[in-house]
Amino acid sequence: MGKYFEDFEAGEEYVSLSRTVTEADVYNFAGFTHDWSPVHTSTEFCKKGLFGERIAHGAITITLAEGLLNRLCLWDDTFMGIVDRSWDFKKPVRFGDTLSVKLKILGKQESDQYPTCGIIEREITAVNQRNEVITEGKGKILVLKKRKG
Amino acid sequence: MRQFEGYFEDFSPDLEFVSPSRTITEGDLANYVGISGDYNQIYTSDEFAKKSIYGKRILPPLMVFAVATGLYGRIQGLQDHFLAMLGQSWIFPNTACVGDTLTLVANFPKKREIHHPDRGIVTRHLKVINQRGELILESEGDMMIGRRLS
Repeated sequence: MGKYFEDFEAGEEYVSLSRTVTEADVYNFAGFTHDWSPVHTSTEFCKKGLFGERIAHGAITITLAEGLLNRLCLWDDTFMGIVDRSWDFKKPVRFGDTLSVKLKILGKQESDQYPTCGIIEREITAVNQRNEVITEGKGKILVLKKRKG
Repeated sequence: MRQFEGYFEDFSPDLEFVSPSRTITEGDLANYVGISGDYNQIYTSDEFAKKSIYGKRILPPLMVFAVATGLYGRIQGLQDHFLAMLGQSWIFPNTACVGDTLTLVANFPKKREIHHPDRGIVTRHLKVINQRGELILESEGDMMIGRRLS
């Protein structure tokens, strides 16, 4: 059972488990999104490119980060959706990099749209194995409130 | 009609691009949940989702985001001289479900030159709508785009 809206406090910090991003992940993601750009999928193309080698899709960091956050089990039965999300890309992810995610609760507020839920604002920083920041950003999620009575 | 070439100079606020449409299937959802590790019950359990605020399973909002990145890439020319994505922000005003058909609409409201002579920054504005015209997500972000060198 996860935490309810009332149980979160601004300032709480968590660190996720880590996950190595493999060639299989990137090719699965290319297959899923239909984004087969050669910067992700052609070693020959990338030799002449900015990084000299294939890199993961920018979007993959965001989706893997959310998976790592889900696996913190903070909101297992209480998560009710994402309101918004924003980020900056800082560094590429190379195949074989290991990501982990730092989560900080920034604050909370009522939801006008869903009175049985509240909104939690999160700060999310994905780092690689050298503790370099890959993406940093924030966003609001809906979390269920405790039932009355 | 001249094909859009995707250089910095070619982007203009007058242009609007519409992607191919894509029907999202149970297979897509299973793939996404598997790849991402984001297997929350509102996406993966009918019994749980029936009692939720949505009354049924929804697609992960970030799955719609991931689909959007692919739909963007399928619009001819848009990514041909793409160098890097800078900051971006996304809002998710409505949820989508398995069986929905999604389409991406892209506009480029502004752009600016920078000190590098071979590239510039273009702001892109994206919307994903479903088959009923409902807005599923909306995004704004800046991209580094290569310039046409003479």
